[in-house]
Amino acid sequence: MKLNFHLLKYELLFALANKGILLSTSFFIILILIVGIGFGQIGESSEKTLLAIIWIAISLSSLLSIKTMFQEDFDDGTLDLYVLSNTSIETIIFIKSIVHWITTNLPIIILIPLISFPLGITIYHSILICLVMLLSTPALSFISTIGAALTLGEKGGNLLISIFILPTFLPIIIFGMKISLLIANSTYDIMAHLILFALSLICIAITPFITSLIIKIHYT
Amino acid sequence: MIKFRKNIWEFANPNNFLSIANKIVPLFLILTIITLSVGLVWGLFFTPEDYRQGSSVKIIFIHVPTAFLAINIYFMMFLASIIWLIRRHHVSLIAAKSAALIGLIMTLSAILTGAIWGKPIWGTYWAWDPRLTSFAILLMFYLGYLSIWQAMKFSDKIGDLSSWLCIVGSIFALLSRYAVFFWDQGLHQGPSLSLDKEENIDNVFYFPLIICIIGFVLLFLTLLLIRIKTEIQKRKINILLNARDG
Repeated sequence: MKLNFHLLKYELLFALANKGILLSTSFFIILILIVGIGFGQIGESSEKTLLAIIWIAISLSSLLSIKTMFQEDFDDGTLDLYVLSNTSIETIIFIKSIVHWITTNLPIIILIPLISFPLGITIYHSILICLVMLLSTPALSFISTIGAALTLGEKGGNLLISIFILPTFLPIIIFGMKISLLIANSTYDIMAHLILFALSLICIAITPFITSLIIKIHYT
Repeated sequence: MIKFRKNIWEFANPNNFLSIANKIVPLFLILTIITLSVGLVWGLFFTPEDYRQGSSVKIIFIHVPTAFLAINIYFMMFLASIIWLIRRHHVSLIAAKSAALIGLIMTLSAILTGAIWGKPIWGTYWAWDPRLTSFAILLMFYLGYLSIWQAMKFSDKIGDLSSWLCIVGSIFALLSRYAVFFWDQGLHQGPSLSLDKEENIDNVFYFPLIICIIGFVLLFLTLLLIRIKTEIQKRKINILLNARDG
């Protein structure tokens, strides 16, 4: 357990030192603005389109730095030691996913009220949408580890990760968008929230095991 | 002469498989031509017009079999991937790989025939209806599975990776389907055929439709066998070339 906390601390410090946070938040802001300006030109700047843009932007930016998650450790042999060591590789994947969520998705979620308020969503609704995202985006980080494991050691893996992983975000995106729409219309559906949260928890519970099985393929 | 075989796994030997496939491909081809021509000619020319849909109802004889196959081919790929991961039979992996392209084409033709039918009846080629959306989702997973084979060279490792991709894809395709259906039941009518329902479509359409489905399944099996044969021979050639070049 102590070792796991050390690993969490080390991974977090390493991710912070890499300045990945600045990159992913800039990417998110630029994507929102570009798509927003595009929709503005054709006169479609309702609250609905803004919600859709936010969800698509957050799922794209959570894929942004996923390639480096295992690749660096794979290249310098750290992953070999993890596979050989006593600690279960599932735990390491779990820690890495949490670190990925803290460094890419959490800053973006904190940014959402700031960016959506001037674009036309009321501050109360955007905080509610932030809470929904807080519950559902960990699943995005956990699912995208599958893509990182699948394309380990592959050149040009980033494109492949998007092709493999973006379709698997669909359940989360569908529920997330519908719930955001309900929030924006000031209606409330507790069932939908619970199902979204359940989906997120299922993904968190299952994906470390699938990812570890896929990583072990590279070592047989 | 085909010897009596103890169990089904003996077909997993590529040479056994090839010798049997060579014998049954012509048979399947003839059966496919017969059933498809009977089914389609009966369906397209000798059925009455629907009182509301007119003659556009006849696209059902292509739309339903292709949609049926599009879903079931992915399920077949899922089973073949599991068999590869557990029992490591190469024919199973090759079957999954070869079925993917056929499945993609079936999905596309189901979407296309649906669009052609939808224009006069619904007034639109495409709507974000749950059933249509789940076919769009299926299309994405087929593309993902095909792109892993396109991007990487054939090896056992890529076989494992693609099998896991197929399994993960099946789970998430199913989840997405239910996520889409959670919100509304949509524009598309219910299934035309089901085993547990009292009222299916009228017998006038029912029998030619069944023949068409059998014909399309036979078409799929024939194409699949041919593609597996080609793939096995391609791999043999590759092994020989590698051996020659050292």
